[in-house]
Amino acid sequence: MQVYFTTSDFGDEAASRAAAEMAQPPTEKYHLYGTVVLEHTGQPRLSIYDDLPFLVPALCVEAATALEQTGVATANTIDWPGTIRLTATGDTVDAQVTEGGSATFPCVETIAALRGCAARFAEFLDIFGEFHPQFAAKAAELRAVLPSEAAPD
Amino acid sequence: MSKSLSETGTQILRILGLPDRPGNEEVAEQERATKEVGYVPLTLGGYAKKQLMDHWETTPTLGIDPPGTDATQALNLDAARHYLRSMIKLCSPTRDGMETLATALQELAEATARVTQEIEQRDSQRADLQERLDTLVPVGDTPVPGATAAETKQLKDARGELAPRLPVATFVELHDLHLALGQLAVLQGGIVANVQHRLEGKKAVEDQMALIAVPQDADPHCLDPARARVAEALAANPLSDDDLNAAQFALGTLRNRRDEIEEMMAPLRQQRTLLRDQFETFAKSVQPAIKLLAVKKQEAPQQAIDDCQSLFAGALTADNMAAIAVAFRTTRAAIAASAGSNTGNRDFITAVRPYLIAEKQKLEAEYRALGPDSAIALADTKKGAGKQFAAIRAGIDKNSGAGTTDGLKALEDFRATVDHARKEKGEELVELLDRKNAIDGATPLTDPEGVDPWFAEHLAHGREALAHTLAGILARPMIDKATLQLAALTALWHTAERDAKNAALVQAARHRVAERFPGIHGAARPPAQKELDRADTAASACAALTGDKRDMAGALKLYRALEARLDAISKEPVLDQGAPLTDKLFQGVTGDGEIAKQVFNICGPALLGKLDASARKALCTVVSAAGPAIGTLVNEGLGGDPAILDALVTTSGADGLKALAVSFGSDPEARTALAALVEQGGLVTHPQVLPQLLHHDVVGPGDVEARRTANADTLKAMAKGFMDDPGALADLLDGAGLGATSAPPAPPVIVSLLYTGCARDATKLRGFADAFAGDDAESDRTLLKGLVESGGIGQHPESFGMLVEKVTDVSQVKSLGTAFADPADRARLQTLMNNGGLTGKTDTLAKVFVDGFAGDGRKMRQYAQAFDGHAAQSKMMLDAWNEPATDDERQPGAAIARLLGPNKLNGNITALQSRFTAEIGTVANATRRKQAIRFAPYFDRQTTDDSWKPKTPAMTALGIKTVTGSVRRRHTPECFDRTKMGGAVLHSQFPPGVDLGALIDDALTQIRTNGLALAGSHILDVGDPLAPIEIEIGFLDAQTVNHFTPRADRGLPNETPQFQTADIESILRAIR
Repeated sequence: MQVYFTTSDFGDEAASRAAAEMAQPPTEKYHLYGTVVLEHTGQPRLSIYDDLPFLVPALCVEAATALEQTGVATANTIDWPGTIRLTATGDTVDAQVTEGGSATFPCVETIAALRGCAARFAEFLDIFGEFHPQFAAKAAELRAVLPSEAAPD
Repeated sequence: MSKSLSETGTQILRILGLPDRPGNEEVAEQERATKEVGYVPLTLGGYAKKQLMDHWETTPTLGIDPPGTDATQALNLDAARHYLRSMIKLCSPTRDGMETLATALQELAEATARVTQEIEQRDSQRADLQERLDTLVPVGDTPVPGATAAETKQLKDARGELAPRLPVATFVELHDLHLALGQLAVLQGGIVANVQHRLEGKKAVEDQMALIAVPQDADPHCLDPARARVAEALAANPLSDDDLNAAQFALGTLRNRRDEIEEMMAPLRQQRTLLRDQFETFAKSVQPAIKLLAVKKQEAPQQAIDDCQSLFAGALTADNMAAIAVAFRTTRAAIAASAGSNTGNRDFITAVRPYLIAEKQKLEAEYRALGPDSAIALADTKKGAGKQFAAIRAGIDKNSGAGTTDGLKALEDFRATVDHARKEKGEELVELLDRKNAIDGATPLTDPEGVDPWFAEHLAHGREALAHTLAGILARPMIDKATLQLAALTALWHTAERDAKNAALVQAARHRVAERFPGIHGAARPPAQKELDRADTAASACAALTGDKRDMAGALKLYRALEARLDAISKEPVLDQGAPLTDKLFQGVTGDGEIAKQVFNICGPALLGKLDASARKALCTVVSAAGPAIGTLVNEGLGGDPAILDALVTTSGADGLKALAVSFGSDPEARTALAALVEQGGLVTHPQVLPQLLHHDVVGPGDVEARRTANADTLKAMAKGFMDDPGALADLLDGAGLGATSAPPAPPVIVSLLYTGCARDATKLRGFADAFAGDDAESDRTLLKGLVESGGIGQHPESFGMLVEKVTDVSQVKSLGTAFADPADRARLQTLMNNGGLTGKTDTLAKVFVDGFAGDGRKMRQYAQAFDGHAAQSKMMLDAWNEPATDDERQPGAAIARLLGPNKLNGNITALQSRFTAEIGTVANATRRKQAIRFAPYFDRQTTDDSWKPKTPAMTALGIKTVTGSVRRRHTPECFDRTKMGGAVLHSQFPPGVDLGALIDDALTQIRTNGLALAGSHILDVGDPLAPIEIEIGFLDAQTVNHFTPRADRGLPNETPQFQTADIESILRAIR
């Protein structure tokens, strides 16, 4: 099970991080658009596009926590009226994305992968926020909700 | 914890890629040094340091810059190397010294590795950008197929500027290149759109060119050169705006050429007709004679006739007309030749002689008609002409074979002389003489039998004027004038003939009426007496008209109607005067027999017989309450007209009759005015008009009685409003067709005009009528009538009232009639009224016409033509705009005006169908399709920035400094930026024109009131509490709102559609 992010401005996680370290600015001063991708062997890939500083906390942290605690979670996209619904059934979780298909993933791995993605994004956002202070608050918000045990894969 | 010396030395050796123990070579070297110098054997630290000194600068990953290292990276690496060198010098081979060396070496190794990785990443980005550049502007002559040279140069220049920078760009420069490529993408996209736009324009020109046909009878290739110029302009590759403009100009030239040819065809057609007439007369004259020739000798003249005949089938060109004239001469020469070789054939000569005599007369007249001017010019030929003419006459006088033969020869000689004179005088004379002859032949010389003296006098004047004109010098103005005079004279002659016949019939009818009238009148009910008096007066008055007012046709019609009424009234059954309530007409009616008698007298048995018992009872009730007033109204106001009374009772009921009677009861002047409208205002010929006007909206809930009374009062005002010119109403009802409905029982159009178009205001109605009254406005009336009868207005009369209410000037109504003068256009409009959504709401036509097309009938016609055969698309579009609940929200005309505005369809009404509905129709989902139609007119290219929202108390209270422009670029159609769609699946939009700032303030106020954090996002309902909009507001930080997104797919009102990317693309294609 893999959950990873890509940024529209810089590309995959590595490229995004490199761009952040090089202080490359985002195309839009107040936005950092990108995609969170959920992948698992034999299942359709789910890609969710949004402003990542909003989507990652909502999906990879808060929804992951709700899924872990209650077996049900939803996360909204903010740039467009989309919703991601996660419903645990036994060891698996059904994921449905507005106009974006559905897939079934292993539940525990999904939660861990979501948090791993959040942790990596937090690292990226930390670096990015250093050079682009308007995103510093978002980096702090994400850090604040990120569970302490979550660590990059 | 620090490492041991051994570990550190091993680490250094490993970094250098050397074994961690000395090899054989190193041992030998050590032994040799020991012997020579007496040094003690090297420790591992010393060994490691030595190895480090000897090897680090030749180790590929340490001493040499990785391939592709840029200047900055090289400086960093040099610094690390310099440090290492310094440390090597300074550090002893102790544990601490070795650790320092190992650290310095490690840092150099890491710096080198980092540079290597950066180079890989940089190269990867360069490759990506290079790929994007190649995609946007491929190498080659035409990076965008169809782009102009200037556009291609723009792209190539941009590529030329970027391409050399890419392979050598540093990380920072790559970012700049990334942005530059974004700008290049916008440029390339714009050029692709330009190309598409030009291709569409090209197709439109081609389509329009295909519709321009060669005029009938014209040379099929006559338009080829003009067509070729259009094609040539369109063939330009690449096609530029200038080429397209040139093609459109050439298209206009093609149209003009077609019109010119069409104009030229008229005289050519006339000339061909004249030549054909002459030729047929000639052929008819001589063909019997030809048949008398020996069979072999028939061949040449008959062939000449056939040849000439076949030329008439050719194209209608000036050259062909000349060829026909030549062939005609050849034919006549063949006849003369045949006559010359048949002097012994007495029968042939006898048969040809009448032709000779007729032609001689004709040529003589023509020769003389060449006039005094030609006499001077013909001085040289006059003598010859005189001889030739004398020879013809001599030939005729001889009345023999030889004489006829000589005469025929002389005739052709004389014809040649006349032809020569014609040439001298001008070819025009041929045509003019023929026309003059035709006028002579068509002039009616005698009056019709029994003609009225007035007509006789005018016919004489007409003939005299025509003769005077024809006696003048033969010239085109004279012939044109004579042609008009002949047309007027002929028309007058036919009118006089009809008048004479009608006058005889009127005379007979008057005799019959005079015999029957007194008896029938004396026995009739009072209203019937009034009706007969009125009819008799009208018929007599009409018959007594004289001069240019004389109208025997009208008089005959009136007398025939009077006779019919005399017949009907004479057959009316009589009420059982002794006991009216026992009469079968009053079965079921209780009460006063006197009332029943009044009802009978007012209504008559025919009307009462049609009514059921309850209706008769109702009549008794109202007569009981207001009998005298009703009687007075019927006799004085309605002139006893049975058709109007019938319609009043059956349509408006007894209560309506009473309301009208009460309203007019105390106002004799109003009754007189009403009587005038009955007589001259067209109410008689449209008996349903008055009842329908009275019955308007007198059904359903509410105070029906009050509405009926109000209607009656309105009619009283209307009657008085037309008192000075009741004919003005007749012009509306008859001339403009507003008294009729083409979809009974729908009320006639006048009802909608009065109550809606004029808001019950009789003065306004009169003003409207005056605009369509009189001879000057006859054409306007006829055109409006066309709209009523075959343009859909009659089927949807309510639309007309709305239209009149909305127009800014009655001239706009007239422009609609004028624009739809062609029945084919009216049929198109009617189709759109019936099936194209123009009557989706009663005000749709009005809004489309006035708001959409500024009351310009020509534009409305363009709309009808554009949607010809596409009524369903028009309906789809207009129905979507008509879906909102309130009149204010429903604005189909405003939507059309927006679509036709700049940056959209730019006034191209045809594109409303060919582009807008065609493209918007591709939105698959029905609901979103309607939303797309509603939102499309508002999609614009307004720019916005991050300071768009001024500071408001709601912002200040929370410390919000910025609401980013991206909110508007993503969620308002006015500022929508297609390049910002990104990977979003849906693109929700705020309602067009909504006060977005107020909605944001509403959200901020709720956040403050509820103590919500200025972080993350919140979902709230904002705006009108009765139709709230669900939004999500997002904060980048405590001072910045960077998201404000409509979340729910809310329908009307305040709809917030969630368009898919394909929908947005359809919308943008539809409007640009």
